[in-house]
Amino acid sequence: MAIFQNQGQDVWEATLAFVHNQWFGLVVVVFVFHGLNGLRLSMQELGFALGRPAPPSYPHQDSLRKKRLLTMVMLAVTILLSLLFLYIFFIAGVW
Amino acid sequence: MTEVKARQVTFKLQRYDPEQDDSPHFQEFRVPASRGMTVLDGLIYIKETEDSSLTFRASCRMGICGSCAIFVNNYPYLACQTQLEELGSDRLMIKPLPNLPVIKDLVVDLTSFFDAHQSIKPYLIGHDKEEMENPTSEFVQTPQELNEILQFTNCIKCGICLSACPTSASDELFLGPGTISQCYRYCADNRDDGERERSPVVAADHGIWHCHLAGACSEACPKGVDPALAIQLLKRRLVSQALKPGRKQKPASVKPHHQS
Amino acid sequence: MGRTYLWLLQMVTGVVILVSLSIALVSTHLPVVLNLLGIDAIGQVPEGLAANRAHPGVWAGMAGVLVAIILYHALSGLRNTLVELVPSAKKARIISWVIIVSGIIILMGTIYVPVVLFSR
Repeated sequence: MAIFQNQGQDVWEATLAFVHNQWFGLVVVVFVFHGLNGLRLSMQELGFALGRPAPPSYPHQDSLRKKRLLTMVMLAVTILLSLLFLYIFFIAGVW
Repeated sequence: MTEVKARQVTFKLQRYDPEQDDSPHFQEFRVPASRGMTVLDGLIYIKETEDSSLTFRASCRMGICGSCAIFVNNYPYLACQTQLEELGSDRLMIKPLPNLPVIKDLVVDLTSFFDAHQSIKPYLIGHDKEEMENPTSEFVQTPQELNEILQFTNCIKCGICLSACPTSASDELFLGPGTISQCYRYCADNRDDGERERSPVVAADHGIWHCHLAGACSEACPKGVDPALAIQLLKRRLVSQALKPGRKQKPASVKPHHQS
Repeated sequence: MGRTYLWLLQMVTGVVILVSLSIALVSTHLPVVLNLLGIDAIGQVPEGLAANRAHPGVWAGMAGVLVAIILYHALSGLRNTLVELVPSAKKARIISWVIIVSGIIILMGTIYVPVVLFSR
């Protein structure tokens, strides 16, 4: 805010016009996905939320079940947040 | 009495003889399929009755040697463990494992795979060198300690995980899920003290940090080894070492002589 | 162990960015967030609040640090992606140095923002 107070009204208005573009909404959706996926990977790549080694008996159980479940949860939260953002800022026009 | 016609399955095989061919090509064979027949049975039938020049690897025919790993309908399988009925198709496209150089027909060069495996020192490196050289007794390992690694000892080094791995497809220098998971198998073994020797190999360029948890290795593994889990657990160990170096688990003790 | 520290740094910076930007987004759109929670606050939260908080040097410094963290996370991710596709160690070194130099140049350009805030 302060930098725009320094630069003047035109810069502020130009920035707002850029941010209010519907394509910027896509950037926000992608950012939300990248952030949540990063959180999921930070957890699972350290071996958490993947289960423990199990004695090898058939049918084989692997960690993919837990990984896929968390991925689905992450995708669902991403979609929810994205829909919320799109509603608030473009449909409800609160921006 | 009505004759029962044998079901016919078409095997579309990738053929490549470096001495004769410029590039791989496909050849089709019709194989009479019976109940319980495996892909390996089909390949042996083709070799014995249709084309004796067909080249493929096979040995134990019971899913324990890992020699017969091939690509069937764009998915890696052990040929001896895959019945024709479970594939659900009368047309099978059979190719050699991807991500590895082809020697001839369905045979791939596994040298890089085995070299990578050897580089992580796939054997127990004990803390007591004298005991390792001149063993006096067995190392003590509880059932709980064994369960931490038992799943990963099932690996038969078939190379299917390497072929399924998307990182291996784009990075030919990647160590591979099999190698890294076997590194975990030994590092997590309470009888082993070689983590410091193995860490520089597995945490180097094109090593463990190029794994991004696609999970294709665990999905394709025919022995339920779950290399993806082993790799992520090894990442945890490496991070733990980086933040707080030092031995984290008590070394295995040697069972006293007088105890039976 | 170097690659381990780099991976850890990538993860930590990612989490820091996520938390910081979430706090920044909520605090600069506080009336909207309160409205969502059923509290009618539009027009009641001082509009210039964020700007006033941005004036002291500590806030300007934090903004500069956040820019550096974001720049590191982005360029490190780009470097990792490019290096994975290039099996040659020599090309990987060239890519790394190009990205490091670009990062320093971009950071020096964006440091302008907190410097302006400092000099107010």
